[in-house]
Amino acid sequence: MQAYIARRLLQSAYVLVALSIVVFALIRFAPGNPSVIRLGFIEAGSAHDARAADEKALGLDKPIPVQYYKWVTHVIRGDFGVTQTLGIGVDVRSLVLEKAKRSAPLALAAILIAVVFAIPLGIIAGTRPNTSVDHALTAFSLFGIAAPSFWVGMMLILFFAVQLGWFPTSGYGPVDGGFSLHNLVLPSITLGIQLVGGLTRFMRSGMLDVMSSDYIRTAHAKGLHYRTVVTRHALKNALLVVVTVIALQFGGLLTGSIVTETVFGWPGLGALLVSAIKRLDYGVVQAAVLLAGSAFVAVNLIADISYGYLDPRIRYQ
Amino acid sequence: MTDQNTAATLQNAPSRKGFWIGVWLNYKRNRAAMVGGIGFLIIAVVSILGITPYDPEYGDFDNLMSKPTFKHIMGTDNIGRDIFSRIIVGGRVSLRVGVMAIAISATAGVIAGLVAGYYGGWIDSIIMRVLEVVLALPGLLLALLLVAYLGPSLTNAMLAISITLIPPYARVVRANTLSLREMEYVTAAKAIGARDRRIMFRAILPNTLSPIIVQVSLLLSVAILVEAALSFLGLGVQPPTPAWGSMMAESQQFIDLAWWMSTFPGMTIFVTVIALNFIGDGLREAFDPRQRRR
Repeated sequence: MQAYIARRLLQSAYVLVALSIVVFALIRFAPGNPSVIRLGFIEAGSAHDARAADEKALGLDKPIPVQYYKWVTHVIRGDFGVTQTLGIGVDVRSLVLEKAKRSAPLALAAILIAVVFAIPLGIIAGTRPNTSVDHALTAFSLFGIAAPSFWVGMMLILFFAVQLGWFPTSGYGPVDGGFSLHNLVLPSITLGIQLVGGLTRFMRSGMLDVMSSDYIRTAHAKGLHYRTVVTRHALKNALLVVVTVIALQFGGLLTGSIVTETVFGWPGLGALLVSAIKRLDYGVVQAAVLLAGSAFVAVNLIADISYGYLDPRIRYQ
Repeated sequence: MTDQNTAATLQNAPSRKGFWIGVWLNYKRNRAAMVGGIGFLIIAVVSILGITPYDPEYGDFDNLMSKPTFKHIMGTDNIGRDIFSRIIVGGRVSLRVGVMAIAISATAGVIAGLVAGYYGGWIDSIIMRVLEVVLALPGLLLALLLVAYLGPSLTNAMLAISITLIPPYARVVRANTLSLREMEYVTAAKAIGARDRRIMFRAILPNTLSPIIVQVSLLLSVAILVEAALSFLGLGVQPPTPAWGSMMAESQQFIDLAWWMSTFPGMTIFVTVIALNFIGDGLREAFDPRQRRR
């Protein structure tokens, strides 16, 4: 177990370093010069000097490895520099943290929806395999997986915001900038439906596996009530699946929030990333991708390790 | 599972042709898989033929933002273009991106998996370490990053999607190759002096084909979804070329005026993805009836 943890830690560290190199290299070699974007396409001689000065100020005149070293030492200290396009002198770190803070309620609400709906639905489907209830729930979870989230989001807007007028069509809160639960409902359902789909499927198959195991037959045989068997014996082991699946779904949560935030004009990390890519704002893209990538790697690591503790039957070599 | 499957196939199948007939007979019995197969076939044929009731670029100025009518069965957009015609032409674009991305990623992934599994050792380590980096970011995020680097366009979206889809192929093929290379018939091939390349492509690859085919149909749906998302975000297919995702993006500002502009392109993506999922699940069961979902 300890050897396994050590190996997984080492592997995660390697992946993070490799990821940072890839992120840095990709964005640095991208077409489009950030100082051109900043200053506009100016051809005249004096503007050329301005551009050279600007490139120097941004450190773009140094060799690439030097730029990477400089960048990585700053990143480790949490310094991502200054954004090049979104406002003058705005610190990338505080910008990304600010946006991440706004993405958090959306992500948490989506996870909450997923857990609250998917676990009971998965149990219902898994204890009644091949009944019409099971087929209906399987179809529902397939909908969550196959429906593109921007379409689900727009259909929700169409029905609940445009037709019924129950919820605002977009935004984070009232015009004066505050956060409002009212605005959270539709985007969190959009993001949640995706997760419900995947989680229900896994919960169902986890439940199926457990229900056919020997100890459940024993529990039935000693005359326990069906409900007791399911809730007190089977559920405990079936829930183990949820730990890994939430980790698996975390990637879907990250990418889903990029699309969902764009549909609903939610001013979070996903929307920031898209606008930064369009403006070729290197610093912001790097910070946002590294933050998301580190979180993804960390969540997978924690899930892998905790799974071994939660289920002692599993032995890693 | 798949290892046993291929092993069983080797021993039991009287001939390769008989194996495929058996697969087809199993597949045919699965109703969802048949519906999905026929549905996808219709979408693909209509898109490839590209016969549209109207010129997809032609603006019918007498019918701007027209509701679905007999004249325009899915309505028209803000400059009077026929949505149905644009979905057909957009399907051509979206499917081409998806199919090309799958062709590239399957080829690269299969070769990587064969080489990693067959040679093992440091070659295996290097290939797996590279793939781990690809897996360090969830698909769409990696595709976004690559598109940011390459610049938004149809070709670049296709390349970005192919890179994100290499690992699943490589993993499946590597796992199968690891067990197949220990089989007697591979030893026999070595003994009669077959070269490594011949063993990999002639002896091992044909016996790992079934999981690859299942992956192709399932990952094609992923590729189509990612392409749609990229185009929706304005980082894939560029206007005026219609693609399902970019049509959704264009429709968003008119959502309170024209529900049909966003409903139909999205529904097309949904139906295509569902159909491919049915095909994939059906194929998985057809190749290995023991794996049937209980």
